[in-house]
Amino acid sequence: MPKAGLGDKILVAIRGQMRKAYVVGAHVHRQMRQHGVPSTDTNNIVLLEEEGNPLGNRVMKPIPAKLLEKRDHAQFSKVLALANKYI
Amino acid sequence: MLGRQLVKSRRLTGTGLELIRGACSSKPEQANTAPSELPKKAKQLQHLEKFPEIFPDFGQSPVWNRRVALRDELERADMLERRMQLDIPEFYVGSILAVTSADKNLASREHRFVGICIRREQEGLHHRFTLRNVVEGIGVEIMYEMYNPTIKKIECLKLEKRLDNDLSYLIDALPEYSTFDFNMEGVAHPAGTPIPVNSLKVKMKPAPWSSRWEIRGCQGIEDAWTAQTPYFKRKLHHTKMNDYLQYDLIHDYRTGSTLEHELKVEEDMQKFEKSRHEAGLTRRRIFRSAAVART
Repeated sequence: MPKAGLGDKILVAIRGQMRKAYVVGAHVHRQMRQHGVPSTDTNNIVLLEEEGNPLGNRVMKPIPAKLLEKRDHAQFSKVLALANKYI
Repeated sequence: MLGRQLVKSRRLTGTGLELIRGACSSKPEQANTAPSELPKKAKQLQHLEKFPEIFPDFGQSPVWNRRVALRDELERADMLERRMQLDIPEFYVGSILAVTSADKNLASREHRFVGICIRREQEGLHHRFTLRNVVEGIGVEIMYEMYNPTIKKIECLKLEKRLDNDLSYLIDALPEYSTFDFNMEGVAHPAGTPIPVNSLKVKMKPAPWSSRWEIRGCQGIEDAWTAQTPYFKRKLHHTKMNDYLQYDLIHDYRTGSTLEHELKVEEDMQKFEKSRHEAGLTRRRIFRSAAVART
């Protein structure tokens, strides 16, 4: 079964609507953890609107620094531009 | 094959007991009754009483069949080489650490994380520890492999122990127990004093939890049984009989650390240290203990 991890794009059902989102925080089972990759207690997402741009104006909470590897990605770099704190 | 064995032992005359005894190769009357040389060696090497607690990475695998002498020896040699390059301080589960690792994506090329050590796992080069902290309301756990070359610095900001060897329950405890300031200053541990034990009992968030902490025997949780929902108490009875394990010497020998192994590792450490110091490459000390006064 396909699984989404940190930095993946997913389709979510939220408030009766279907929206795309990027995973910016994943709770990983202790056996599946990688060196230096943070595992957050909650699974966190950034919602996207129809054209693929982030829905909000700011990302308030810290996101893992590993996501910076995707800064060359056209869509994801817009999410990274909104983030100001990296853990 | 069994048939042939039976035929062989049938040549011996006598009762069944003699048959069994004749087939056994141990001869207690020929056993070596000389006293063990280990205590003398321990004194000579200034053996650390709590060696398995100070250096858990230099222990042997708790699984007997995974103990491979050659592989372990080669790994320990690499571990000592790495310890000469990077200062790995003594720490325990419950100590607060700051780990600086190399990160090519960040502007400062470094990634620093401060957190409480919640568990230490595996022996040898794969030894890993997990740090936990709550950053702006988000609980974060990062697993670090101790001998990974991308680690630039490990600082022990607060050296202390807790009531448990595994603080995984902090994920279901109130967030205040896992929050530590990134800019906190280190508290120096006076050399020669015993390691302080923080007998803190944490309060849990309301159930449901990620695991049944109330039956895991965690000493550091305040009244887990009462806080758990009645569903998990409905048919609680012992299905696994493991009360005898505390008396099982063979199990102890096969899973735990023996004095012979500890002395061997200490001897290797001291020889390695001495050879590096004499070569003038470094003055760094590996074999040390915070609880033992430096002579």
